[in-house]
Amino acid sequence: MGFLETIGLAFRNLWANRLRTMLSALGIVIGVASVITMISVGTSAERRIASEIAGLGSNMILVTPKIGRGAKSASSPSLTIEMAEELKAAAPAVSAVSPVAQIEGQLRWASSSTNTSIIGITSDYMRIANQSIVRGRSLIPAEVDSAAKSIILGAKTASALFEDEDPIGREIGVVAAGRRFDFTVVGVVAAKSDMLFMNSDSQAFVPITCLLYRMMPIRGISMYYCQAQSPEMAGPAVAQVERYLASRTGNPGAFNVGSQEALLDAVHQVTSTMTLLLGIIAGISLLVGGIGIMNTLLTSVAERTREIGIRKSLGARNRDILLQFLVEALALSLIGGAIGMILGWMAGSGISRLAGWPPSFSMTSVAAAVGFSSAVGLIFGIFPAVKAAQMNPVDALRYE
Amino acid sequence: MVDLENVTKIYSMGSFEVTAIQDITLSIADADFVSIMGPSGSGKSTLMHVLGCLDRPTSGRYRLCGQDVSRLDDASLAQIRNKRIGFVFQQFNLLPRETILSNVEVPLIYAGVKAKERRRIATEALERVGLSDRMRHRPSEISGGQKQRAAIARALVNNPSLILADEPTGNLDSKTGHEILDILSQLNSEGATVVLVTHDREIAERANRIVHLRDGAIELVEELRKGGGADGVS
Repeated sequence: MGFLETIGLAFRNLWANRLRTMLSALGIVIGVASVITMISVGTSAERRIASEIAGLGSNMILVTPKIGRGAKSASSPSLTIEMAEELKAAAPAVSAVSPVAQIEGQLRWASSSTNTSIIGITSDYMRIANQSIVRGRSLIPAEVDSAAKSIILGAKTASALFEDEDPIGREIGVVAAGRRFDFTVVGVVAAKSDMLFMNSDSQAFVPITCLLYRMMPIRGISMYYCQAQSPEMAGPAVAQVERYLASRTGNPGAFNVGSQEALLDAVHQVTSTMTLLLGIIAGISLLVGGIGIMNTLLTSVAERTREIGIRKSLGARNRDILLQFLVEALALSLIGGAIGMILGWMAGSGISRLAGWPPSFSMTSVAAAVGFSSAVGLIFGIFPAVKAAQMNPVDALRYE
Repeated sequence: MVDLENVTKIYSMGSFEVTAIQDITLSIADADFVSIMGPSGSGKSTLMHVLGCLDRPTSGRYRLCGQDVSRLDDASLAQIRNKRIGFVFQQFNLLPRETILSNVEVPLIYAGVKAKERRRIATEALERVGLSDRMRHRPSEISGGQKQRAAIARALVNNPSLILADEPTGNLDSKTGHEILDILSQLNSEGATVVLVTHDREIAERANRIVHLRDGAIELVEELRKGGGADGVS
């Protein structure tokens, strides 16, 4: 029997039992839809996080003191400005280092005020952190050397204080740790969307020297932002930074040195585990759908016992009958798979849109849908089909 | 054409065995017309199934057109049924969802005949049994006699060596029954070998010979007229 005839026959039989076909395809629809939804939501969540990490800065390496039991003690080494200078010389793969410190404070201009994080940086910071200045300028090395009271405002901070006014050159009040300072606004940072760890839009940046020596009651550098020469150099750069810190402090385990790539890897691991887990849960519904198909097919085989007998008496071989039922199972599951794919895509992109994640509907998920549903059709169709094919023609013909 | 040698068929029903036919030796010549008669339980149907290659004999040898078919595998038997045998059943056994034309095409589909050619052969066969005006109907839309004509057309399409008719008139009134038998006689006179299974004496007399079965064995072979190329029964 030709393949086209087999397909035509399968669709005629499915059409003849429309309601049953619909109900058993529904199981596959739900299964495939949930698998696709889970995968696409998982991937778009991962993409979102990955793009945030990429947005943090180019080739960025973060050095932070290890936090945890026993890590912080009186003897544990801390990061200093001098070490940052030394690090640049000791790690040739590192092109720039900016120590970063942070304090909470309030900015005041005329009658308005806003609470913000005040970040102490060097002139390299904006470049490392991949942030651009929309107005005025970035800090210059001289301001860092002289602990100048220059301040760069985040986009939201600037609009909270100045609204539409030009803030460049204005003297604003900065209240931190119970004291008031007068700072000159030199620049405004371009608006950036929410970041993983912080929102630079509602921050303000000052020379780290100024923050450490003039403002902080207890001096402390929270981390180094380093930049590798190139993405390829990120690995060697991490190794060089680790080696420098170990020899400088004599305590190799005191700091975390993380490249963006390592961060991406970690995120990828977490999200792909989550996606897999969600996929498995969704896969269970696909399994249930498959059982539904098998049930429908077994019913159909029983009902059509006589037809099988007639076909065999007219010369159908066992494999013709096998193929007939297998193609029917496959058609059933592929119809379900196609509808499920569309529903899954709609649900996935809907959820992604609500969460503000980038939509992700890849050919991979289409392939997955087709693959899953045909696999389900084959696996659950094979038993009824074999049962039909192996019927004894005499018994099948006698069946009432 | 048909050569049965000491053919026995035993069915095992769980723990006990039933001998359906025993030690049957029978030859049917090309273009012969033979009736098989007997009360129910005499083994008519089993003999029919063996002759039709729907079942294999437990022992003995069955040669069809010179080929020993008693030990063939399922696929080869299916091919023999497709190419060499045409069945006409009491229940008509048409596929209810297919049109009459599609029903008649089924053996051609399994023979691998192309669609256009199939249509042509099936149409011709339906014309031959006088059913060309019902080709597009479904079995439920035509009468019993018409159904049986369609079944005969279906039995003819692959030019079988042997037409096996199992109580073909059992579900028909006597007038229609006679029409069907006329068609079978006509086919026989055109050269087809016909085996007719029935319990009705009057119907059986259409044949050249009547093989009487009792308790699974041949009781008597009755010669009615010298027809076809009958070469007797050993």
